[in-house]
Amino acid sequence: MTDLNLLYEAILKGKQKSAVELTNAALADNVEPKLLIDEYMIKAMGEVGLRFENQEIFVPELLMAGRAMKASLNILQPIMKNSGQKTSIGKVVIGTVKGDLHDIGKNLVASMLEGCGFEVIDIGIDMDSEKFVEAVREHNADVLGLSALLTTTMPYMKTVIDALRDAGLRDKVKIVVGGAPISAGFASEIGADGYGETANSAVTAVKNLLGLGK
Amino acid sequence: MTKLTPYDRLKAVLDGENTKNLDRAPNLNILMFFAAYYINAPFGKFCTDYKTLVEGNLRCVEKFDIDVLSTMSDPVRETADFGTELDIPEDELPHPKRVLLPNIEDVQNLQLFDPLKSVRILDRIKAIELFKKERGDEYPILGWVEGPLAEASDLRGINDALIDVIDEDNEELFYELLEKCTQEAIWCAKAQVEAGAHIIGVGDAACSLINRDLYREKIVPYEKRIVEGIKQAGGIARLHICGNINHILEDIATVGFDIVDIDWMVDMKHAVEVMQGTGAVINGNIDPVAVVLNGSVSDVKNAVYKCRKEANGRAIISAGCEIPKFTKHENLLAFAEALYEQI
Repeated sequence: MTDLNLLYEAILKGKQKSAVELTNAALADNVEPKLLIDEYMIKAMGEVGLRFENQEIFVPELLMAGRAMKASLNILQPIMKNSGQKTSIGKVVIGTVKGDLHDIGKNLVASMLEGCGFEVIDIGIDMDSEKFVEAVREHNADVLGLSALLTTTMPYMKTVIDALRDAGLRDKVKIVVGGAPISAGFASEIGADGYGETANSAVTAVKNLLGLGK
Repeated sequence: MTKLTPYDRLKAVLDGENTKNLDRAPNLNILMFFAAYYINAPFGKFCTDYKTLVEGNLRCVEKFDIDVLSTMSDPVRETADFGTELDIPEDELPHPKRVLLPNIEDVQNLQLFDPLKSVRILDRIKAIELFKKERGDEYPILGWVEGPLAEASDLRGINDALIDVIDEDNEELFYELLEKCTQEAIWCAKAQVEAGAHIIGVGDAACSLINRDLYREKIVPYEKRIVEGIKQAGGIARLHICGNINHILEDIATVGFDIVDIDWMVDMKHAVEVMQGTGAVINGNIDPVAVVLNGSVSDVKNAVYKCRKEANGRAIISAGCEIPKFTKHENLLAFAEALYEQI
């Protein structure tokens, strides 16, 4: 039998190849995909988030862990879908707003959300309000994450929120904003539902807004 | 107290003089979007036309009592000259249409370029020459190169570069990329000093995102070579890393920079102590958004006073990063005034 703790370790250490091998080995042992995800992979990413928050690890380690997690999920999710199982705890559309080309913060949040069991649709950088509206509608998103690093682009977050209102979607999606110049005060001023100062707190905000608690 | 020229003021601090013995501490605030906006020029033009960049900076330093003539505009000058096709919007930051090295193996085909036969670095060199012609040695002139990890990130894309830096599978190819970025940075730095730049800034922003061991083992050796190159050419070496660098300050102190910029989240007092005896002077670290952009005149003045007290006369006082485009003029004037006032 495969030692499943090794899968936890592989994701924690960002070892993509090992994570894939262990996932395949566990499936060969008839271990349920949901058990692998809930009991080992999500827990590993939770630990990654904690270590990142405490500055025990930095962005490269977090990206490597996210990459390993995604590689394993790519094996498990089709199997779960085929057997009619739910593959995520919620759907999040995320992007960096128009005029802003910074994507590292957004990528970290996306990686952490995936690691916690969300389906993430990353629409990229420099996105205008129409693209956000389209993506929320098309994917029936539970949450929209808006990112901005520049003080010149952060006001565009309000433009996106207004566009969602005009499209009749505002009440159907929760909005979380984040990025270096963003504050809780700014988030509330522009009518966002939540704010994440760090990647981890963004995930917490998303969970709280969807009533998933801790 | 005798009013010094900006060059003499900076020189005195770099020679070890306490700023309490000078008319004021130097002010090296970074102007890019703000300078373009101040002269009503589109930012794309500021980045691509050295005359516009020079005009913006000259008018701002006089109005806002800033002590440096800067050639900073955007981080993709070398990236473009390496061969990356850029999108240069009229009033936004230039950026690659697509990364030049989508696969790490592509580094083997990466060719160095001659700065004097380039486009975007040559434009920077022309800005330096024009500053020199206009102001001689009254102001220190700041040239700029991208540091090894920053340039690697621009050529590979930040996500891939941050995986490259830790991924043992492609270590040799990543070192080859750092080596090429370093050789080019030295070449560009020397050309800028020869054109008249007194200071060469080295922007290595991505370093705030990596752990201390990676920075020390993989990046410091390359940064050291760039600093040696700048100094051999007769220039002053300045490091700028945006973000939180508290965790790598001790290693930065070993590189040999003359000026080390710190962003607002770095502990000024601690940073000054770490650099003590190394020959490096700290430059920082007022919050550019919460204070300079969004604060009142008194918020700006209080932040400058606080910074001066923490530095105890042993630092250059500036915002931690670029002055935001829509900063109120009264705030930037207050910044300069607060450097002269008794505290």
